[in-house]
Amino acid sequence: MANAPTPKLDEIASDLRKSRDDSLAALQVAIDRVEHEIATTDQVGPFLKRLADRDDALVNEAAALRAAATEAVLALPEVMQAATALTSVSQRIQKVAQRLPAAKDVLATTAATLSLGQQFVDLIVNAQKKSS
Amino acid sequence: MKATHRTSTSPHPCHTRLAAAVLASVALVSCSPYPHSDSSQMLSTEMDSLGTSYSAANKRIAAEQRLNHRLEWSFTRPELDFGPGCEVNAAGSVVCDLIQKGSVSLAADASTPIAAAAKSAEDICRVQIPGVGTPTRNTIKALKPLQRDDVIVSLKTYTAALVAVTRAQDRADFDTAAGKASAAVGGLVQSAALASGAGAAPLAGALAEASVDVVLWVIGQALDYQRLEELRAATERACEPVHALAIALGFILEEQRGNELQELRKQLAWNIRTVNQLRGQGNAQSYGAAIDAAEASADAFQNIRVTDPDALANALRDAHDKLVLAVRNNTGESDALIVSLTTFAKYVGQLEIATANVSASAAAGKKP
Repeated sequence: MANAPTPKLDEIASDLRKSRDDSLAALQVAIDRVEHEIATTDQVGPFLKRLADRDDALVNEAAALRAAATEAVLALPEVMQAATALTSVSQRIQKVAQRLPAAKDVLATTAATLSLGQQFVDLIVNAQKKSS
Repeated sequence: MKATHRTSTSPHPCHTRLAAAVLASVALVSCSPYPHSDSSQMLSTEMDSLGTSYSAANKRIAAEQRLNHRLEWSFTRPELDFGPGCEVNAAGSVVCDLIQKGSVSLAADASTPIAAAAKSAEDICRVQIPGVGTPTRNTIKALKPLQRDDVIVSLKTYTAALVAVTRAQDRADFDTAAGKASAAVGGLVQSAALASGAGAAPLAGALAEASVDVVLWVIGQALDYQRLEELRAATERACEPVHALAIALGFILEEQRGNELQELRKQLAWNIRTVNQLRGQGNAQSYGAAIDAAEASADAFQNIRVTDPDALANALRDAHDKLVLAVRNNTGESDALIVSLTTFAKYVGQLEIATANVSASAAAGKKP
């Protein structure tokens, strides 16, 4: 029985790029959702403060992802080896993002998005460390 | 035609007009002062008028809708929300505005993509410059802030140098202008090499200067011919660096655009919140002022959202390509050259304004 064909390097790079872009788009959905909540919630005090903090954290995480997952970094062999894990995290973050528009507990749902965004960045940073 | 032009020693009557036209272009005056503009120039002017009229009507409609909303909301005090055009990744033609929470929106139209400018497929550059390659996101990210500023400064200096060459009235003027053009091309090469990740390129700069000088003083005899040859040498050498810098500018402006949209949307969220808080307790004046502030944020967001940095950068590249061809194929007819140089100067001006606007907004922070 023949083995499954090994994906070519450019296919892996293309998949990684897509995973990065999809993760960024999911983070943006979370940012938009939190800002929507800030604009329309009747609640004030600690809840509003947590929303503002979450907004900042998500924006910072998106910036960290953009900075970490550059084309040069995605082309590193060590990062390519982590492609399966990165794709998996990207798919999970997208699933969470799909729930966001209708989510009642915005803080909990965006916490999951934020956590997965951090996982994505950590995977890249750790793979990059192995290469140096 | 070309031979006649080369041997002519009398000043070309078009050069005074050329100088005036280029000066006007730097001030971004849109109408041409030339009675003999060709048909393409006329078509372009008519299209501009049509576009201006359409745009003015759209602005009037938007202002009327705003006023109606303000009057209605002052009485009904509904809960307000982001409109469908206020998403950072929205790509449609729906403008960012406030809407009543839960109201039916024009969200369907928000999926309509804004047409991207087509990239020029043909590479017309004949002179390959060592060290100047294709910039990437990584090489541009590695640029220091001052090096980023140098990208636009080098283009401005280059445009001004071309203008100086066309304006030169006598030998002394021309000597100075030729020196400026040579240095400006060196500056372009330097910036393009840095943006391509090749680091500083002193050799490329020096080569550009020497080459321009040789063309200028060995071959040139009459001032008019020298003027044309100077423009030819400068634009041919600048061709590849301008392509590289256009790519770099597209990346830089796109990154700035994303950062600014993020900040402006956050501002808008807090301003909408203020309106919603005041709807139950604020007096008519404070409530109205809060609506105005939120709508001002929506306008600022919209103004940035509709910008297309890539299209602007591509337009700059295409305008320079046309200038290169106009000078390369020039046989003494200066109108095509005037139009090309005017168009190129216009895009350099627009890029400078775009960069300055984004920098000013970033410096203003979160202030609406």
